[in-house]
Amino acid sequence: MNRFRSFTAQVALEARRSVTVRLTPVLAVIYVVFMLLDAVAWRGVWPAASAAVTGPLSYLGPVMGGMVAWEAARRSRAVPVRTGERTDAPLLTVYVICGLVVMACGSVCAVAVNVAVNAPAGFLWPSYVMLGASGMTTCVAVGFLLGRLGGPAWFAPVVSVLVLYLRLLMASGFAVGDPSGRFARDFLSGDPSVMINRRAVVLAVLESAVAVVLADTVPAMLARLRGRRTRSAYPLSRTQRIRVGSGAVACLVVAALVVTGPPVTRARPPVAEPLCTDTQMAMCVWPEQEVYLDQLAQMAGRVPRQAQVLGVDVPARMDAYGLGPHRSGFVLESGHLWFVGDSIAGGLTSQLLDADCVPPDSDPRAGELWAAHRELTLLIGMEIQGRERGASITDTTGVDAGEVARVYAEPPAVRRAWVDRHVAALREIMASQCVGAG
Amino acid sequence: MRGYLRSRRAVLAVLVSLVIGIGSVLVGARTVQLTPGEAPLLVPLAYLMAAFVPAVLVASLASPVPQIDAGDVGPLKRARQGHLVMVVLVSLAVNVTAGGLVGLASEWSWFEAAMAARACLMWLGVCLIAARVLREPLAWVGAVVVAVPMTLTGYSGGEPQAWNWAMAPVYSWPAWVLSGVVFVVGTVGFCVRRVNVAQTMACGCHDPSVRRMSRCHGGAVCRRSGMRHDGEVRRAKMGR
Repeated sequence: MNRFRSFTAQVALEARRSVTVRLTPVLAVIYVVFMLLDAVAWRGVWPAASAAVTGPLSYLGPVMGGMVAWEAARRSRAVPVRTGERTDAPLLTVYVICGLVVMACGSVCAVAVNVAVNAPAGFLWPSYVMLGASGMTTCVAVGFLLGRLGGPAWFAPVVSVLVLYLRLLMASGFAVGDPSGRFARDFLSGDPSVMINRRAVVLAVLESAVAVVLADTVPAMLARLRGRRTRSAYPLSRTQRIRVGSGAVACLVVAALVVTGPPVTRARPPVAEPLCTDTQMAMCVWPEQEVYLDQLAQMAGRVPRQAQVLGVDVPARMDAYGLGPHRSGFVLESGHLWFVGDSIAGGLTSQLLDADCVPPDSDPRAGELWAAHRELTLLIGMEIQGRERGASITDTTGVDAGEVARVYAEPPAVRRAWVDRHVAALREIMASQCVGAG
Repeated sequence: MRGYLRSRRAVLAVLVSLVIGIGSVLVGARTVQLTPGEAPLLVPLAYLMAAFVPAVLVASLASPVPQIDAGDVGPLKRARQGHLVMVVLVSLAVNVTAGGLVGLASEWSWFEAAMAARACLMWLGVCLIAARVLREPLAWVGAVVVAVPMTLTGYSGGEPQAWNWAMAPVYSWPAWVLSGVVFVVGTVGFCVRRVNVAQTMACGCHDPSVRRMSRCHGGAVCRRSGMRHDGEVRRAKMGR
């Protein structure tokens, strides 16, 4: 108990002297601002909000690591690393607490916003928060380790920031279940169809624990080795050698487990009772996506009219990605609905195509058919959305989006004539192919 | 000059920047997603790694003994200026080479190389400004700070903004103007600061934590600049 009190007193003493502690509120505010800048992507959806808690980590984790490295290096020059044990633990504890406080502020922001917008029942997914916290702890530990290793004043901060940036950026952005994504600690979006692997969370926590232990012990051990070389330190005792050896083996085992661990993300099994709109074409989403139901119902209400224009059937139901068979369905990308309308339009216009009559890619008319199909899909997508496609959405299909947008701005009769021409062109190309084949 | 460069670990800084350059050539073509949404911002890693070459080299301008060095207005001055010129030249050389060969391109890309040079000028400028404001070991803060507006507002309608120094096409003159202005401001600001600190120290302000004369404690006035300093106070105490 006395040792704990003594340690707590040392932590309090270090906290009073730390520049990082004074800058932590600033970092926390920046963290929250970054989250709020993108609030439309996660507001009202708990898994998305949970992922958003980790979003700014890729930017502020390295900054925190660099700051810690700078202060640790500064202190190392003032008070060199000693050869004894446990000299760095209180200071390192202060830095880890600072990092976790920043993450906690992000979590509180996510909860507050979701409660304010009456998000459906639920709460933050702890797996995302744990991954973010372990990522932040690792950043702090790496910064501390590099700062305490010595070298010129400029080396530790800038190298920490670079290494941590590369580590976080290169590990994110992999597809669900991709083994390459086993090092991901920050997430730009959190779709309800994606779950975090529990084993990966445990390994991430172990990884950060190992990083903290290394940051605490390696500088002192290196100082002792230097002391041995200059014959100014006693050799390690047998007990100490056993402790160092077993610690090194444990670190290697954890490193091997992390490197060979499972992917961080995995597909979530479909729920038995998804939430659906009560429209002619039911649009079903995950229970966590209840907040989008009204907008989806509006879009679904426009579908019968477009199906009539095209002369095709209205689909009975469309599912959000992951709910339907073979993980198909529309994608609600970070709260943006454009791709939903695009998926519905694609579902309608694809009914116009007869697989047996589509010309092969080598046929010059195949290009004409697909260009007409894409233009038609784009216009129907705009009709279902009730708006033009955003200028920021890039299109790699080569469709003339400007021409389609011009048509969308025309009166309904002109639009109808344009659609009829495109439908006729599609049918004519397929008819000629079928006749030719027949 | 050799002793000066050795004390700044200039060779280590050049080696680190070369490692970053080689890393940029090897993995720089890989894109990373920086923002989510309908139109996510995908940026080649090389554009981000390029910022760290000037950050490392500018950070190496830090003096290991600032209190002693700052008092010098003679022999070290030329060495500092030479070091600054070396920082600029090595940054440009590494970034332009890495930019032209990014992703182990089979042929040299002049467009990419020119864009890398433009971005390098901007990064150098902001790192020098940060070194002026926060001291050299924190030069990287400048790059990290300006990366935020570049990420959040530097891309619109599927195209980079004309001022986006890292991503705008090579013929986009607003980006060149911005990079040039920031580079000049950073360089001039960094040099001006050296003169001020030197004058401050020459006036007798030896408090290691003091970088500006206005924060110097004491009751006497410097004969040369008319500013307050503690040198006279210290001598007066010693006399007592």
